[in-house]
Amino acid sequence: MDSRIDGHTTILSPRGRLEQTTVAPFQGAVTAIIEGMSPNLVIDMSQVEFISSVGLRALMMFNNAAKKDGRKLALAAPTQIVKEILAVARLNTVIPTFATVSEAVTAQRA
Amino acid sequence: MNVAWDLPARTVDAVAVGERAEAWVTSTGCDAAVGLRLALIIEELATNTIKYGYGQECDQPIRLALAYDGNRLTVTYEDEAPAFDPLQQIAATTPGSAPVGGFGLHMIKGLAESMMYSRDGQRNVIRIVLVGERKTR
Repeated sequence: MDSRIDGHTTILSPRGRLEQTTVAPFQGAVTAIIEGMSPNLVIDMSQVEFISSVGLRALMMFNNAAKKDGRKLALAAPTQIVKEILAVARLNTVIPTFATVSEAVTAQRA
Repeated sequence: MNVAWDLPARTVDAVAVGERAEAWVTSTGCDAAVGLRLALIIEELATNTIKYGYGQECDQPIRLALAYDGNRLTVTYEDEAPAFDPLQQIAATTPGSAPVGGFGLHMIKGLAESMMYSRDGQRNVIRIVLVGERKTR
């Protein structure tokens, strides 16, 4: 899982499937970022094949933790199936979701 | 075309069968997105069975059968846990709001064309239909 910093935003790029047997490293990486110094986080979803409910629950928890600390979490560039899943779970109405990483980073600067 | 698997109520087995089911579906000529939806649905169903039906990872049975008629993929999922109608749970909750099947059940319903539940003797039987859209050739 790659991560990089752009200004005040950390961009995390998980890959593959976020499901029961693979979600732990993702949870660890996001928790470390939320507990770290970076004010904002963008999760680049472009390499995520699908995300199951365990991944959605993790996103929800991260969003709540970030908001509590006055930080921002955004999702960027979800694939069609991930977009569909986010919509079905209505997470796209809770966590800002952008078509590209640069749009998400720009929005977080606002 | 039909295929079926019997598996124990263990996450690792459910994920493995989900991958095998996905491979089978895509081998029939279905679009890869149908296979992904199927793998996701199998994982969510099995997670509910393990966590809330049987209450733990165990060797209790899960049976999964797939039937593809060239247009529609019918998924029949069975377990022997206490009776639980997921459709009632979905109707009574919003995504993420319930501790049981908070997101998972809503995801299944949202990704499927139709979903039915019945109690057959000691078994919960869930039938899900996915539209088996063909790959663009």
